[in-house]
Amino acid sequence: MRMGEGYKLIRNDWVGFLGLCLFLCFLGISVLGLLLTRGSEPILDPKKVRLHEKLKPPMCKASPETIANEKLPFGRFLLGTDDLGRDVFARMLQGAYVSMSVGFVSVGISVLIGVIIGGISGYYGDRNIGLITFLSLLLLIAGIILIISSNRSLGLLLSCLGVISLLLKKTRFLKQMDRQFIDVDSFIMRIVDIMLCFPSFFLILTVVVVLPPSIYNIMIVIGVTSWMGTARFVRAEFLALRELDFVKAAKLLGLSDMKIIFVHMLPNAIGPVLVSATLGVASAILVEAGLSFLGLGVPPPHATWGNILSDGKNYLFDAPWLTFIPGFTIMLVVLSFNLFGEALRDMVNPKLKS
Amino acid sequence: MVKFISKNLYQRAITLFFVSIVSFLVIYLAPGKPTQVDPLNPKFTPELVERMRKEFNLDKPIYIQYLLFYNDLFSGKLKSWKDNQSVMKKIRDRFLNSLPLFILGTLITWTISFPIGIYSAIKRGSFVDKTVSLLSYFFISIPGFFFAYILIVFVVKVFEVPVIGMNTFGLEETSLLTIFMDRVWHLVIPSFLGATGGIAILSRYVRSQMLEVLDNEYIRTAWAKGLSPDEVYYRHALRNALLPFITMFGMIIPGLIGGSVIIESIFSWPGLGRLAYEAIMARDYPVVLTLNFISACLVLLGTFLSDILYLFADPRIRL
Amino acid sequence: MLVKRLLILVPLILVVFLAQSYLWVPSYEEQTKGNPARLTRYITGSIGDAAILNPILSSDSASAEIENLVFEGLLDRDKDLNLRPRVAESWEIEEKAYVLTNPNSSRKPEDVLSVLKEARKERFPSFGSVKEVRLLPPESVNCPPVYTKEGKRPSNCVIHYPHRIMISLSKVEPELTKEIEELLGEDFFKDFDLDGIVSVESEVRGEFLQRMKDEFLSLIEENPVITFHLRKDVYFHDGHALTAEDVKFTYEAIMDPKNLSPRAADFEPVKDVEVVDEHTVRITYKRLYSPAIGTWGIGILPKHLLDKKALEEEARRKGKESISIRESDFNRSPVGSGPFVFVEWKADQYIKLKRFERYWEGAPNYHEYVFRVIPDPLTQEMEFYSGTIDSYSVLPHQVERLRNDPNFQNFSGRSFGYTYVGFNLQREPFNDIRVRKALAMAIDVEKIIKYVVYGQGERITGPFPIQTPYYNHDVNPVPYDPKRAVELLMEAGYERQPDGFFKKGDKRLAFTLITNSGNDIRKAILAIVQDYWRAIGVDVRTDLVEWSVFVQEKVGKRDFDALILGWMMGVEPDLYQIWHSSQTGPFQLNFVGFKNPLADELILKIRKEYDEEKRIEYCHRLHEVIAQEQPYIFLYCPRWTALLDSRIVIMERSEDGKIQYRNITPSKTGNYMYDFNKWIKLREKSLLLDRG
Repeated sequence: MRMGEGYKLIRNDWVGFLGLCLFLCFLGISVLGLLLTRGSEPILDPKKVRLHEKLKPPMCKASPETIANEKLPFGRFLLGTDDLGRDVFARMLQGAYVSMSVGFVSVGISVLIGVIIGGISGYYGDRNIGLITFLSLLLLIAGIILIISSNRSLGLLLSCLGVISLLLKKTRFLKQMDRQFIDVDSFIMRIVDIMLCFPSFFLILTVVVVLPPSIYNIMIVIGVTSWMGTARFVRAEFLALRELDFVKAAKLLGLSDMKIIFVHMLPNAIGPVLVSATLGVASAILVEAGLSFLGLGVPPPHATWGNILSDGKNYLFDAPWLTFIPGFTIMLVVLSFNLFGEALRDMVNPKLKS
Repeated sequence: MVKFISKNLYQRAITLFFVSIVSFLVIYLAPGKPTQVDPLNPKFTPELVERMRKEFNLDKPIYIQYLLFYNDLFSGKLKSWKDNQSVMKKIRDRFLNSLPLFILGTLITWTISFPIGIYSAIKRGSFVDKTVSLLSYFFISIPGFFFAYILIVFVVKVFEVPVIGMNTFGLEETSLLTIFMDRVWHLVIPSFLGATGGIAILSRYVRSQMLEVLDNEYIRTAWAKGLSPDEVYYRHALRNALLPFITMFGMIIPGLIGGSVIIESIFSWPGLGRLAYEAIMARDYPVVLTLNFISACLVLLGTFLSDILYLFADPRIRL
Repeated sequence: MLVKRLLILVPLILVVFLAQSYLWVPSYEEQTKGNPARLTRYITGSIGDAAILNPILSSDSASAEIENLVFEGLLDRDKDLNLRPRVAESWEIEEKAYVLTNPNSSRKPEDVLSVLKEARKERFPSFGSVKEVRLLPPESVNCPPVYTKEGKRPSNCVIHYPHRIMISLSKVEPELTKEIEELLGEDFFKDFDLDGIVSVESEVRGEFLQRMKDEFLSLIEENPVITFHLRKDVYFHDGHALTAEDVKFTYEAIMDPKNLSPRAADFEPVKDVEVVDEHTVRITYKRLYSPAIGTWGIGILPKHLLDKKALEEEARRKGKESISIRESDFNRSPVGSGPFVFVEWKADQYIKLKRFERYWEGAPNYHEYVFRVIPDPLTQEMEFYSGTIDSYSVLPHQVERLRNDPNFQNFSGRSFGYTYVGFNLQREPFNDIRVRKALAMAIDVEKIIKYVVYGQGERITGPFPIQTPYYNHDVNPVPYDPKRAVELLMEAGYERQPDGFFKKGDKRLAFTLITNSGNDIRKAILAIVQDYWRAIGVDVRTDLVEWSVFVQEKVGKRDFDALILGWMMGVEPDLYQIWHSSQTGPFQLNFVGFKNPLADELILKIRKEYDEEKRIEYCHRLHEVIAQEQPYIFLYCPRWTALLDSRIVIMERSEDGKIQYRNITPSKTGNYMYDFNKWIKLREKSLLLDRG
């Protein structure tokens, strides 16, 4: 994307530009939020429980007892308090940072995995895995699994067999049997298929229920269950790029594989990846909100928007702001990501140039 | 052709086998054991807990459990741990509940997306197009349960009719028509919720496909030939734009076993989503694994169907 | 253009069709006010569905709710917690004691007999209740069944008794053993070699044999006996009469290891259940066990539908080899003898019951009872306001909001349990009582009660339910005194650092407080307690753990620092499982690791004591001991709250046939449904019952 393109973007597609602006806005707010609410003596405290101030509406004055102990902007609770008297404004700020980081880290993980797997599949695709190699890898993995599930003896036996056959596969005896079995591309695509067979929310649910609740686990889980799309894109791009002249030239020049992939191919393939990453952040934030609704989201005391929303739903008739404020905020943020992502897609897609 | 199909099926079967292993492992290696027996209840002695473990085969080595499980699954004998009912029966009952929701949702999505998408493409850049885009984005961005609550509160307060459940509870009348219409009404709001996201995405996809096609040479030829707009759009462009959607048709199949947990919880709809959620929470392994397995089968079936349909639909592809 | 027309028409027709369906649906108004049938129906909303409708097999509260209406036990408790006869119209509690004579001693059995016969009740008060003293000749008795891990009844296990003396008493005398020992003198029991005297022939050896001996062979064996006299007019819903055979069958079904009944532990001390005649059943216990009588509140199962013959029939019908009670269809379609008959159960939707016309106390006023499953609390609330459900699991702030609304009546009562913060006494720093006391003083419990549960809670100081006489009201609660808390910590060797937190040596005073997810109130308390402790300088992290994992990994394996939990107790003051030092193993209930010899002694005494006054005394002392040690920070006893339409009242017929109405009052246990069969909903709110 060069400067001229950027300029055209603003002129033609102001919606996308709006999305980008909102997105940068929220980025700024989340950084601000982090600064204002972190540490044990933050300027705006999201954790402080003030039971006597519970369920106060936005812009209400704080009671004298509270003002004596702490400083509040204008002496008011800008967005009201929740059922434990915590400052909703401070919590929303902290939530901004947490929700954003959940979104970015999980997408980061999924993009990383996706690029690596898609890249290998696209570039080394027609290399072959021999039968013996495949079987020994299988034995090794089965052995490890059995060891973990406390079937030590059998597991140890299988893993040893696997390792031995891997080491010995170059010997004459096994080399004959090490026929062409499956090529790397098909193999990886089968793995992607296997992952795709699990309905994603269901899978996230299963894993989250089972792991101890922590913000990191949720990030990892969302990341590990959504790399498949990116992998497919990257693979498709690499397959196409591999046949192009400049890559062939690079190979002839003797450049190392790594250099070719990272310096030459990847920057060209990055387009669809960026698009799906942007949309992925939006989706991760929504997934986190959904998990909070079911009670499986980020545990306290971290405040995420999903948390505030699902805590607030019990008080819908008493304190509707607890539901509406985070709800609309999530909507706006996700909206901005979607708009921005779509604008990127339009830019990157050569077929839609009008 | 036959070779293609058989190779495809064979590869899918292997994938299915691996999926069964992986799903089995994920669940069994997880911490937290089945909770029908609650060790924190003072009435449960450790002997009782141990006895229940034995009863449910949890003390055998993992590969034996695997074999036993799949044997039970295929012979239909599989029992749920929560209430000892046959797993297949439970799934079938809930499936019949989720099915109308799914069918109506898909119907709404597809029948509304196409006109909207096509119109947006034809009148690209117009006010309608921009509004529709904006609305689509709103619908994709709003958190599902937030929207659901707002909708329910709105309908109940303004129209004063019940919205939740599969049918109205206090329905005294028994005329068939009333009962039928009542069920239809209860289907409306939840499937509408499920459909909004789908409409937003699908209509935009339709739009972008149409735009892509309209850019082509042969369309310009059609204009040049002087054909009427209707003919250009609906006879020439549409057919080609629809190509990818035919294959998407196959991907509807996996949706059969889906069912959003959140929507079903909010609307008290006893469907598959809630079944899956409750089973996971109670560590009811048989139900969870069966659902997983069925879903995997459907995904593979769906993609297979897509591949076949694509074969027939695109005249450029010939094996 | 056909295609174009289709594209427009089809969605249009669809939308119109869907929209018009709205017109067919009855509005809330029509369903409630305009529908007379609604008054005869009681609809309750629940978040979870029932699991299994069999009182001996179920362990969740939703199933219990239905079972309480469909089944009935021999007795239950009324609003003052006194035992109230149900299926049994009366009962007697007696005792039989067996004293072994020593064949190797110089004293002959006849001598021992005369000594015991002539015991005077002035010196030995227990003997005042003696009905008969008899000499039993040596006999061989089959072992009573014992249920172990292997689960089999011992086969061919015979005990060869020498001469024994049987003493029949008209009531249970707890001091009997002591008095007999005094009477017979020390040397009577000195050379007593049980193994030599009483021989046990058994096929099963080893540890099992040892257990048998420990259980059954004692020099003086005391067997309490309860005899129940059943009503003659109790019928099951299918018309079959309820007899003593059904009671015996219920007991055997519970104890059968194949059924995996969670209630088996309650009935383990039963030695034998005997059917004396059709309406009399006699239950003998192996040892003194005061909670015994309360356990017979369990629903009685119909033998003719669940015995071996019936199960075989069912198996044959289904084409299976065999079926156990757990697998029977009975559990999805139960038949009991309670006031309501089961009609229908649609999984995850509703359960319908209708009234039983032949109920012995008279048919209930409500015609129907419906249990609706509505998983979302918000939609439950909305259905309640619209009048389509009569009760639901209401939250304190909702009760607060509707307190002054004349359309609703609310009750609250103390529930039978309490919420607490538990410390892992086997971990630092909780092994130091000063630290525990300091942490307790740092929390303002009154504030929690006021703001989190809206005053729906009562401060407690000890392990007994506050509404029972066993609770010691003289024990003072730990005061809210953060300054003193800081002092205590410093006394315990902690120093305050410049950053405000405490440190001892190079370890900070830091730990993790956990509770289970899914409970909003506990989640709130988690945050509040963390905040209080942070204020005095203790670094506390918090964690919400999902229930299964919480139970298995954290509590079961003792892998926690401090936790917030609650106990739901029964009426009986038996605290063995929670506080005895022997129950500190993995997966046992004394997971905090409380070990106090005085407490142990008191617990065992309470178990054996039948005299109520003495029991209360021991309990008060135990309460003091535990409060002193502060292994828990006892927070509060939650009040349950219920919200009902104010038109629901109790309707009874007085002796002269007149109809009387009175308000519903909750019992001490928090159960306000004990009179449910007398409830009725009036068309208009009765003016007579206007509360001022």
